[in-house]
This record gives sequence, structure tokens and C-alpha cells, in this order.
Amino acid sequence: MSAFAETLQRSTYRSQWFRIFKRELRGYFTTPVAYVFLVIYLLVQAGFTWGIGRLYEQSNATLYPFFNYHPWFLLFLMPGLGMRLWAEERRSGTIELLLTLPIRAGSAVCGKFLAAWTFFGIALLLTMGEWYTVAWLGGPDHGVILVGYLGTFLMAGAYLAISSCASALSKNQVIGLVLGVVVCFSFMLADIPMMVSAVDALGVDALTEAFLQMSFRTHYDNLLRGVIEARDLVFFGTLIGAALYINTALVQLKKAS
Amino acid sequence: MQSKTLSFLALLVGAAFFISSVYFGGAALRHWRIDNTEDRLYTLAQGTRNILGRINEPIVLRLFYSRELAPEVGIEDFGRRVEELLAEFEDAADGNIVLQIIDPEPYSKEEELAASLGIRGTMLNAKGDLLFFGLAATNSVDEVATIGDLDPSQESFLEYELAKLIIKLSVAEPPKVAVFSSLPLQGGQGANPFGPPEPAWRIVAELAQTFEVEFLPAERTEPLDALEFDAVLVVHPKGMPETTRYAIDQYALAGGKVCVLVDPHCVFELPPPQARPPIDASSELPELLHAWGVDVEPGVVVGDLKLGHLIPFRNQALPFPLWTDLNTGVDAGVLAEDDVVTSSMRLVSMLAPGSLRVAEEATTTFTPLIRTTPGGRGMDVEQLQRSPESIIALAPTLVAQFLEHAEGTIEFSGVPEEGASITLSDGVRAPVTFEFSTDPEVAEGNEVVLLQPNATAADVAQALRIQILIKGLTVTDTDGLDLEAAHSGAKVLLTTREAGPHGEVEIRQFGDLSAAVDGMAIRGLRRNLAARVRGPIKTSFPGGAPERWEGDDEHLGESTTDFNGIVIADVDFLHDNLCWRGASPLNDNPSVLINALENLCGSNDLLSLRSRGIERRLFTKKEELDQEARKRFQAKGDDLAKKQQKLEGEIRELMQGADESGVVYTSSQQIQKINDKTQELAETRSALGRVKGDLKREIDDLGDTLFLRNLLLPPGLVLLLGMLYGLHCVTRRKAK
Repeated sequence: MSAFAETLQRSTYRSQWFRIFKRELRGYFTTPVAYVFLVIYLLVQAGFTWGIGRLYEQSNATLYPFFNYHPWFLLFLMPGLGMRLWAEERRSGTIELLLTLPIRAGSAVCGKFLAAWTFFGIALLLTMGEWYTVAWLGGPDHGVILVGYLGTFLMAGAYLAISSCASALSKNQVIGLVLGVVVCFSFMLADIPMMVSAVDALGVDALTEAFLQMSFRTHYDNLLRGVIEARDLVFFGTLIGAALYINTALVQLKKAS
Repeated sequence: MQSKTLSFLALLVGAAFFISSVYFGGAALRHWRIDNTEDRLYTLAQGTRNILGRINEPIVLRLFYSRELAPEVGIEDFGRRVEELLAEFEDAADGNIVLQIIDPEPYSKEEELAASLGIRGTMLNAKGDLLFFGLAATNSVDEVATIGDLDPSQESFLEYELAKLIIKLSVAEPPKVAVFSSLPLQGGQGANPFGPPEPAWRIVAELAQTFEVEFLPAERTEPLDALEFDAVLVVHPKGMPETTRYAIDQYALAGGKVCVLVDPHCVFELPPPQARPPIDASSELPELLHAWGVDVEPGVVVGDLKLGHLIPFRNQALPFPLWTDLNTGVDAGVLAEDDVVTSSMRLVSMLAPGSLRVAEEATTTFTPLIRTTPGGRGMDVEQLQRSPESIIALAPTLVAQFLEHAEGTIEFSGVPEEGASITLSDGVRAPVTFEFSTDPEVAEGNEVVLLQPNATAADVAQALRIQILIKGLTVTDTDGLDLEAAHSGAKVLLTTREAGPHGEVEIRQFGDLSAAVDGMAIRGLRRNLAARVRGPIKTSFPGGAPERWEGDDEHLGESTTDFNGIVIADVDFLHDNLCWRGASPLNDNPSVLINALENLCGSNDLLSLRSRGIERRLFTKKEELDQEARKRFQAKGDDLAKKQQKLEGEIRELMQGADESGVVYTSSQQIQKINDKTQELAETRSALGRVKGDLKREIDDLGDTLFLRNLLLPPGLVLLLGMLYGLHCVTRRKAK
């Protein structure tokens, strides 16, 4: 730690986040937790795609069954990945050490977040077998699938940023997890027909539209069509940005207190 | 306390930033998008944009769509696509289109509105749920245009149909069509000066519903104004005056659209046979058509045995090759699927049409719209003109001719061996394998036809026809070249003579016709009966205006914009007798002309809206494997099914000794035999069941294999890499 602290001290602010990013990312592969996450994710996605989504039986040369269930199981997996980002540091006390170093809280937040996001990106890359299978079985529209992957990656990033934020609130990882799931779930409410009709019943069209606009699903589905639209990128981008901003504020408070 | 306030503040700032950027940023960048789909499904064509840009009065588009009921009929994807496309229209029209999506509740005002706009729901189920899925457009003067029932199978033409709807409402007057016709389409004296006046052709009234039709005198010495007439229709041009041709030529060069109907033999022009002076029933427009890149094969009418309309002849239904029923059910290629003019059609009937070809040195693109099957062939029109009888009376002669020329000779040499290969001579590209069954049981119970060595294809076809008639298949299967029927197991007895030790002997064998007929069908080219041409053209009057021309416009030598035209090599198809029986339409014939003119009258923007290639993407591999497996199991299953049939027959025979009460008096030996056979039958049945099961299992197995691979391989890979990395760390630590 001390060697790392020295390196950090010597580095400029700009490269601070990158050093934290590198340390964190390497950290994933030295613990069994990461492998457990990867295995669970890969098993779950295959189960949903082939078992529930019935990719083979539906005979359509798309990866829709694969993407379709991602918002639901990532709702639990991403908070699982994000819960330890800050709660772990707080529990073990290493956060004190990290924050005594002359680095910006923002760099630490970004570094940790990007490492976790990249880690998920690696997990996502490991699902390329599905793409290959569909390409082998028939001629899918590869452009659509590519944008689908982009959408999944963005949505996972949004889940992760929220989870990271939740993790910074408590020493207890479980509380971080539950909080993360609850907040993420609230962004999924618009995917539940009951909720939509409840809001719709209020009779204010603008409100219904606003409600739908806040939904992960609306934006994710837009991307799954194979069209990259600015409003979807803005949605996921600013959501990640806002969550990380709040996250930084929370960490700074911890530092100040 | 202060930290809590601060964190609350941070939360507020973050949330405000997020919400405001989603709203304002999203709205500001609404048009920024990348359509990454292969067919650019979510991008409006430039033609549509131009059309929408020209709207100058507000149009209200009301989509009546029962969204909640859509999944019941599986149209939710299409529904979403329609909604999205309409939203794109709204965006691109810059405020001139107001889109309303309405889900009509039962007995509501919306439902009444839908009904008043001519959109009706379809009863879905016993509960009485009504599915609405139609579009109504109204303009500022309350003119209404509707698409009553949006059809998912026409998804690729959705943009075109919507654009057409918009044009209909934004353009005040119906398109105007100028007609030059040598036939009395409006009624009046026909070709026989002594006959009674003929009534008007009904197609004229049909055209008048969509267009303003103006019949022009045969001789025109003034220019046709491309701004006045949206299209020119030329019907059966016979000896058209030079000045009229020049007028059409200049009209086409100035960007006018022309639809030409020529016919090498117009049956309905002829007076009844008893009062017939020999008249020429043909029409042509060679110079003009050639300049547009189309040649009509001179003196040739086209027939197609496979498409022949069935006419009664001596208690038989005979396919009459010159009366072609262009039926997409018989051959999907006869009506172009990817052109808006023909895409929604299923059946077009033509009578002795001509044959269109791409002209040499054509500068235009030639797109066939209506074609025969590859078996279509031309014949000399003189034969029809010479005949004193009606064309139908010629049917048997013509059928015989078509069969005779149908396709080469099948040559046998010696006794065909099992699996011998026979080549159909005369241009068949691939030699076909002609498999013989030496099993006498196969032929048992089949009526057979003697077929001599060196039998011609016509013999084969004739034999096949008789076979099929005997087998009592449906009438449409009597077509001599119908492959399906051939595959249904018609057998032909082949007899050959060979010198044996005791003199010449006759050897009889049963052969399967399907291979021979397969070979015949691959021959030949489709004949074009109607085609679209588009592209730059030159004048057919290089010397300038002819004498007697009274226009003083400047002579055009080349087209300024791309020419658009449609040429159809038949006129008879528009006659009432070929279009309607009573009030009900017989086929899509009227639509051929209406669609063609509608399409031509549309602006170039509308013409540019080709069909968008939207197709459902399927697992082709799975289907291939499916077929392969099916083929493999078919043989096995066939054998077993045959065995089952045989056993059933044998048991029936053994049981035949039963008396009136059904009691069978048999010896114990016989009982034993029956028991054995029954046992064997049960085994065969279950074996047959197993084969069927195997077929399904094999396909399912592939799914399971793929699933397992995707389920286990990636996690396995992760664990392996993890262990290797772990091992690497441990050894490194030890080394230290």
C-alpha cells in the first residue's frame, strides 16, 4: 500500500484515476469473488436466453431473447458488483488511508467505477459465443446486435453508478446491495404495465410521457432496435454522470468528517 | 448535521442535472441518430422527405390501433413499426402533420369516429373484442383518405402507401390521364362495321374513380403538356399517325410518364367468327418502344402450359396454354414481388400476350413485372390469324404443339439398369438421374402406361397426365408438367426389346417420372409480359418534328430527367370477360392497369420509394438441417409405412373367412399366423413412431447441444483461466 501511495502522490491528478483504475481492475482477478460473478453471470444469461427466451425454438435470427432479460437480472447482478466498491473500503478502514492521500475524491470514484464497468465489459465480451451461435444458425442483422451490446453496456453502467453511490452510504455491503437494487428498480417501474396504467389513470399525458422517459426499459428498447439516438445516450450518460457526482460528494463528506 | 444537509444538496443537484439534461438535451438532440440496421429500417427515404416537405396545409393522421389486443394476433411488432414510422412522418413534415394514436374503447366516441372515417374493427374472439388497426388521414377541407386495414405482409410497402396517402390529400385534383386507343373502350362501333355497337369497357369506369380520364383523337398535331397530363396511356396502337407518335415522344422526353399496352393478337378486337373478314388484330409501336429500351418480339404470342387456363374439352379439362393464368400459387415468380405495382397481386389472366425483350443498346433499366414460368414459349401469331375458328377451338391443336415442343427427347438405350442415368437431350443443362424401381410391388395397383424406348417428353407428359387423371387428383394437378403430381408417385411402364437366347424378348420395367419431369422444368427462360422501364432516353425522331406538326415548341433530342414507363404486352386482359364475372372480379387484372397508372402518376419522389427490404430473419441453418433430417428419415419411414400397409393387407386376407356375425373359422395354424402377423404389425407401427420421434429429436438435440455449449463453455473457460492465473501467482510467490 505504501508503494502504491507513493506512486499516487507522485502522479498528476489526471493520471490518478487511471492508477486507481488499474489497481482495482487487477484486484478483481486476484480474488475468487470476480470469478464467481463471471460464472454466475454467464450461467444466468445463457439460462435466460435459451431457457426462458427460447432463442432456438423461436427460430428468429436475432439476439433479442438474449438482450430482453438483461435489464432484469442485471438489476441484481450490478448492485452485487457495486456493493463492495465503497462499503468494503469503509469496513476495512482502507478508505481512511485512501483519502489521506492527496488525491481528488472524484478521481477515486471514477477510477473505481470505470474498473468495475470494464470488468463487466469483459463479462459481456465472454457472451460473444451467443452472437457467434446466432450468426451460425442464420443471417442476423449484425448492426442491430452491435448496438444491442452497446445498449447493454450503457445500461449496466447506469446500474453500476447507482450501486456505487449506494455503496458509499453504508459500511454494510448488504445495505448497499439492497439500496442499489431498490433505486435501480425504481427506474424499471415504467416497465410494469400496472404502474404505467396507474400513472396513465391520472390523465396527464405529459406526466405519463415523463414517467416513460425515466424508464431504463424505454431507452434500452430504443437501442435494441439498432438505432443509436442522442436522447438515449444522453439519458444513460447523464444518469451515470449524476450518480458519480453524488457519489463523489458522499465520499468527500466522509473525508471531511 | 451539516454533512447530511450537504449530501442532500448533492443529491438534489445531481438529480436536477440528470432530469433537466434528459428533458432539454433529449429534446434538443431529437433528430440526432444513427440508424445501424442493415436495411436502414428507421430512416425515411429522400423521396418521402421531399413529399413531406411540400405539404402546405395541415394533415391529421389518426391511427386507430387496439394496442392491447395486438399480441393476440401477433402484430405488436408491426404495430410498433407503424407507430414509429408515423412519428417519423410527423417529425419530417415540420408541423404539417398532426399524429393521433387512438385506441378505441368499445362503445366510445373514438369508436364512432373510426366508423365515421371508414375504419372498422375486426371481431377477434367470442368475447367480442374488436381489433382496430387502420389509418385515416384528413386535410383542412375534411377530405378523408384511409388505409382501412394495415397488413403486416405488406410491411415493405408501408412507407410508399403512407406517402401516397399524403399526396392524395395534399394535391387537390385527381391525376389526369390522356388516352390514345384504337379500341372502342368507351363503347361504340367495333371492328365489324355491320355488327351492333359495343358497350363501354368497364375498366374505363374503374379508371374514372381514381383518375380524370381524357380520350384524345388518334391524330394529334400539338404537343402534350407534361404539366397538364400526369400520364399518357396508349392502348393497342395500330398505325398510329406520325404526329401523334412525335407528341408522345416529346412528352416522354420532357419527363412525362407513359403506359403502353400492345398486343400481337387482340382476341376481343376480332368480330365473331361467322362474320369475319380477315383482319389484323395486332398492334405495335416499335420505334417509340425501342427508343425506351423495349422490343416486342414481332409476330410472336406467348403461351405457357403450366399456367394454361383450364377449359372443358371432350369431358376433360385441358390447360389452354395461350390463356395464361399468372398465378403466384403455381409459380411465385410470375408477378414481381418487389414492385409496388404487382406485389399485392395473386392472379392475373392474359390472353395470347406478346413477349417483351430488352432492346439492344437500351439506355434504360428494364424491370420485368409479369413473366411466364421458365416453361413459357412463343409461337407464330400467323397461325392464330389464319384460323377461321375461334381461338378456343384451336385449344387441342395448340396443347399438342406445346407438348411436342415442350422439351427434348428422352433416350433409352438398352434396358435401363437400376439407378441408370438418363440425359434429356436438347439443351437440358444438367443430366438427371432416372431411378428405376425393380420392385414389382411398387407398380402393383398403379395404372400404368406403356412407354416405348425413345419416347418423347411429350409422351412422358401425356402419360403423366393420364396417370394423374386416373389417380383422381384435383383438377389443377392435371397440368402435364406439374412436379408435385409427378412426385406423388406416378409410374410408367417402360418396355424394351432385347435379344435373348431364345429370340427377342420384351422386358418391362417400371420407372419413376419425377426425375424426367424435373429435367424438363429446368429448361427455358421466362418470357416477359409486362415490364417497367426507367432511365435516360433519346428521341425516336432524330430528324426533328414530322410534317404537319403544328406545335412550335423546341425539339427535344434527349430526356432532361429519367423517363418512367410501363409496357404491357396484352390488351385482352382488360376486357370485361377476362376481369369480371357478373359483379365479382375474377382476378387482379384491373389492378394491373390502375396500379401502373397510379404509380406512374405519382411524383418521381413517390416512384423512388421502392419497396424497403424488410424480411423476417430466420435461422436458415435450422431449416436446412430440418430438411436434411427429414429427407434422411423419409426413406426409412417410407419403407416402414409400406411394410405396415402390406401386413395390414395380409391380416385382412387371413381374416376374410369371417361369417356374417364376424366370427372367423380358422385352423389353429391360421390363428398362429394371424397372431404372428399382428405382432409384427405392432412392431412395425412402433418402429414407424420411433422414426418420426427421431426426426423431431434430432432437431431438438441440436438446440440442446447449442444451449449446453453456450451454458457451459464460457464459465468453463473463466474457471480454467482463473485456475491458471492462480497457479501462476502461487509459483511466482514460491520462486520469490
